[in-house]
Amino acid sequence: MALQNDQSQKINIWLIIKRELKHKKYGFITGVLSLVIATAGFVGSIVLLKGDELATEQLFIEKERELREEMMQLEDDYRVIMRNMGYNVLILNKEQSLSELERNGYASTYLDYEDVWKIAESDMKTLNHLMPVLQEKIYWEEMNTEIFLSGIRGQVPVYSKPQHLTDDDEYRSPIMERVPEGKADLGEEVAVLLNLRPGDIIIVKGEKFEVNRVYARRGTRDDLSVWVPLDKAQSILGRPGLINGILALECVCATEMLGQVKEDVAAILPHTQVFEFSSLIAARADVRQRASKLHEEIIFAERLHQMELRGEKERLASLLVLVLVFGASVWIFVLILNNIRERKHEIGILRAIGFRRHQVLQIFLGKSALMGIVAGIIGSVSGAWLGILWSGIDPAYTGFENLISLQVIFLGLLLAPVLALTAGFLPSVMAANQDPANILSEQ
Amino acid sequence: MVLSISGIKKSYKKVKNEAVKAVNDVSLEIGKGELVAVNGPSGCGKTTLLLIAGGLLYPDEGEIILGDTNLYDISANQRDKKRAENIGFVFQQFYLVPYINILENVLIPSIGSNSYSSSLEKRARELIDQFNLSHRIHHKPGELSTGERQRVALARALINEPSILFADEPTGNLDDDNAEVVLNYISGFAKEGGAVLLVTHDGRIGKQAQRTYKMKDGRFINQ
Ligand SMILES: Nc1ncnc2c1ncn2[C@@H]1O[C@H](COP(=O)(O)OP(=O)(O)OP(=O)(O)O)[C@@H](O)[C@H]1O
Ligand SMILES: [Mg+2]
Repeated sequence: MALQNDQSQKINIWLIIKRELKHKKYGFITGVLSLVIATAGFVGSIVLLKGDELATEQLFIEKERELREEMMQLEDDYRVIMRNMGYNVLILNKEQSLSELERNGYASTYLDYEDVWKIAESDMKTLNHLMPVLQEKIYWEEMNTEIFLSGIRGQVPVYSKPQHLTDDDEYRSPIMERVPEGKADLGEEVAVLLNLRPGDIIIVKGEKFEVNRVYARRGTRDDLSVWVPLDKAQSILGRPGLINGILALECVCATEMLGQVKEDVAAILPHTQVFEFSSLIAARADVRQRASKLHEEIIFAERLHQMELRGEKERLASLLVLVLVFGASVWIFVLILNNIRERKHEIGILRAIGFRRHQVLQIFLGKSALMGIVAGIIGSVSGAWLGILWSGIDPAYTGFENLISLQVIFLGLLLAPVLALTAGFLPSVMAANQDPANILSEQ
Repeated sequence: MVLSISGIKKSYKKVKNEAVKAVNDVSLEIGKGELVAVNGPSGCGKTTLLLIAGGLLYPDEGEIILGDTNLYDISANQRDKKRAENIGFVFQQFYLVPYINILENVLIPSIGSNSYSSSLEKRARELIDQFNLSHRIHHKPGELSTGERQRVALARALINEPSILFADEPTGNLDDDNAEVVLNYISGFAKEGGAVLLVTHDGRIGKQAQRTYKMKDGRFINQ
């Protein structure tokens, strides 16, 4: 015991501060506490706001994804609707006169059936749903009427568009299905005129077909058409291996660059011309643009709303921090002032035995600084912890560095000492400037 | 001459602007090995005189020469330094620092004079031993008797080996036995070559002093 007691410490200002703190724990603890609250409020609200921001961002991203899916669904729906309006591109022989086509209702010049495969096997991406057609107006002797006889074989798969791509669900529901072997599809006018139903047997130029189905009225010359498998049409019409047009659907993706498709086709089949039903293409583009614009507008409105909300929260948080900082400053001020009053005689005697003003200042500012440093550490840590706790964010998931930046930690650690020194400065100067004579003559 | 005071005047402004002449033309000299006592009733100006002599209070007139320095001709900082190095104070109220132990209280002037060393600590222990306080060395002032406290205050005043000791009513709070002990230590310091200015209203105290001045209304009446 005696040995341990003999261990004395070198006496200096810090020892004085340390001993006094130990002696008057209560003041120190309440001072630290008030600074901890201010610091924790500061750090905590920043972390909380940041956490909130991350949480809403997360929510927002999810919402946006949902919305995007909905919008894609909508676009898809539009696309299907637009697609059902029919093909919008017709590839013809270069020699074909368009006015003649208009007059007759069919082309009188021909392409090789193989041409369609050249496009299909190329890597062009602007066309879909290639549909080779051989169509002519004939006199149907057996029924004593004029019809358009169309040979189709169903769609030719486009190899550059793998089956699983979104654009390709069209394979599962082609615009016009192939006509099964030995069967024929009828336009409405033909069926009504000749009183034909599915299952009836018809003979076209000596070829026997069973009526497969009757298409609903379209108001076009399709109503006057009879569709048969392509090879049958080729033999009936005496055009083996030939077609007189390729119907196609221009990709949605290509609608922004009208004309691209012409270039693409010309590169593969220089002997052809491309006829675009431009109103249909424009309508598709329009619909698509509208859908994405609506999408953008909804997202924008949502963002605006979130920003307003955040602004409000930030204002509230900064007000709270301001109040806490002000409260802590006042408390430190009062605390140091009170401490000085209590230690008046001590200050007087210290000055009398030769303590300099700056040494007295040091005693009180040192105490303030110590309070601040301790409070800065406790406050920053507890503030960060509470902020994380309240924001409900999992820092393991978002990453600590995204919740608390180095600057915030730095500011948090700095805030309390700066506060304590600022609030404690005036009383400390007052203490240093006390006249020892005044104090010591009071008896 | 250790201390030479000449023509000191000091008056305080009272509330109704009526000036109180606390010290009115006092002169005094104290040499090495001298204990000088100033005796007088309460309010006659003893503490005021002592504060002025100790470099803590500006006089209105007169000068104080400590060693070869005119105390009020130097800067406040230099005066602080002078006090730390050359002057010891003892007061009626002891004014010990309550939260540090006796050894630390005795050593605390070394902060002001920046003179801490292990040999100074050794000296502190010797003083404590000499003042019969060794068994109390690690106690806090609050745990000591009043007599012990004043001995600690005295040890603190002497730690830096001052040339002069100012004692203001050092026995005012003590019983006769303790007063005797403290006064013996103070005169002991003088006998060893120090100089002492002791002020008190207690007429019995003068006996160890080489000279005693009677003070009344700010003046020495037996000069
Ligand atoms: N700071 C002050 N302001 C105004 N008047 C003062 C002040 N200090 C002392 N006085 C007055 O000056 C006079 C001398 O006071 P001082 O303290 O020197 O007397 P003293 O002899 O030490 O008295 P005591 O024996 O009671 O300690 C007194 O009338 C006192 O009221
Ligand atoms: Mg007095």
